[in-house]
Amino acid sequence: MNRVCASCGWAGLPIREVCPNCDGTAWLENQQAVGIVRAVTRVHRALGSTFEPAQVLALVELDSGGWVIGTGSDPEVGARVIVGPNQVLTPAGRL
Amino acid sequence: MRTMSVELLHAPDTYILGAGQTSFVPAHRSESSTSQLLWAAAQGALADAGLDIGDVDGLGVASFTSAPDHSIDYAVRWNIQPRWLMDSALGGASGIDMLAHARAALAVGDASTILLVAGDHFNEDDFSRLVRHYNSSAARDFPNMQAATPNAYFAMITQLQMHEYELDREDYGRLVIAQRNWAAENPHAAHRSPLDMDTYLSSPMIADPLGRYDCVPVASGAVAVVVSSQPGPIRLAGVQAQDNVDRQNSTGLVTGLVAAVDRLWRDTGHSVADTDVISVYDDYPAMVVAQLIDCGVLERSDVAGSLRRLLDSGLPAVNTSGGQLSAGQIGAGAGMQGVIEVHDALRDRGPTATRGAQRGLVTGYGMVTYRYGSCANAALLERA
Repeated sequence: MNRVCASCGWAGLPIREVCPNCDGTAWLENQQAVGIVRAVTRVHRALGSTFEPAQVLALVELDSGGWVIGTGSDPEVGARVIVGPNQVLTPAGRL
Repeated sequence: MRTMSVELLHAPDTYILGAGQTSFVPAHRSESSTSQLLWAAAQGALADAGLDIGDVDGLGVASFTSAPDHSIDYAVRWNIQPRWLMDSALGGASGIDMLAHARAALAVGDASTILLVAGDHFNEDDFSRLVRHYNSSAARDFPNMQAATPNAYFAMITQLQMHEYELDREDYGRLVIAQRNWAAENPHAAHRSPLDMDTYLSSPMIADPLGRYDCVPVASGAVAVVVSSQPGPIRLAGVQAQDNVDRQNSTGLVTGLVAAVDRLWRDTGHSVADTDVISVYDDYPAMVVAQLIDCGVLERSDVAGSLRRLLDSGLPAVNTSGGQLSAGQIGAGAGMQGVIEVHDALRDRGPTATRGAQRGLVTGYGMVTYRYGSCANAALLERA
């Protein structure tokens, strides 16, 4: 991810050709996105597989307006995070 | 678009002449095939309508597991020479999508008797493949996240909803248990055994806060209806859709029904107070709650209280076949399950408590384009 609208700065998934915020069609690649964790779930089972320990997924509302699902070591609701390549989340204060 | 609306205003009414369905069988126990299930449901609908396959001149099919076959393949197999064909790929919205298109086709004379069929046969591998390759986003946007499936997405939406409306697990549990009670009267339901709150709350956690009974069980099965402009027992009073309502760019707590149902009431002159039965697409309890709010059944300012009052009164009756959460989710057929459910209630074939029902609302919801469904539609059915 980290694809950002060149016109308004919106970022989010899924990937689009037209920005949902401003209808822009030019995109900047490899940009950094920052947001706030809004929900965290620990998945114990999925599609016949059991996860031990549970796999942690987090829903992030980006400052730029979009939403992404990512994964990180221990995201907490309300925490500010950086969304890196492959939607890996790191605390925003760590870098 | 404006021209079509004018034509529909002056078009003959659309009726459901008959409905058919197979039993819904848990995926791991089904020994049938998709084509066998679709044909069985089609035969049931035709028999219910008092028609033969030779009377059909329009065919619509919705199925995830029919590939590489499509509606024309079934037309050949079933010896139909259609003037109108359709394949709906809208999953949980496909049933009402097909009803809407069939209504338009009947209005302009593209067909006179249309058979709409939907369903799937699954085994574990079929379903995993469907989820992993549901669309390009599912295949691309969750690298190194094997646990990223709809159960996880809707677990997080449920958390947002619990926070937004001050709901707890017991609120969802009451809804799930109420639907299980309805399923006891549905001989086709995959899961009919009684469920109590202790069992609900202590069930294995799948993706917190969703336990086993919050996640729609996969089943194999099929459903079908025959629609025509010739008078029949059930009239399609109206149908509306609103897709991509929030550009897949919000919490996901509000669906397109907030716009579609508003138009449906204006189009038909009715309101939620006129409906005796309601079938809302129920892949997860949180989405039942979201849709009941959007349809005006629950009060947005008092969701927990109005949900308790709704379940206590049973007015209107909600998901009276047990819904997908108990009857099972039959793939793309899930988009038409609600149509059958309300059709049956309006013909006094549903649970005893729904006898005499005059009018029913059905919703469709589906197509997870990233985190939640991007399609929503609704139909109002009534006794003719």
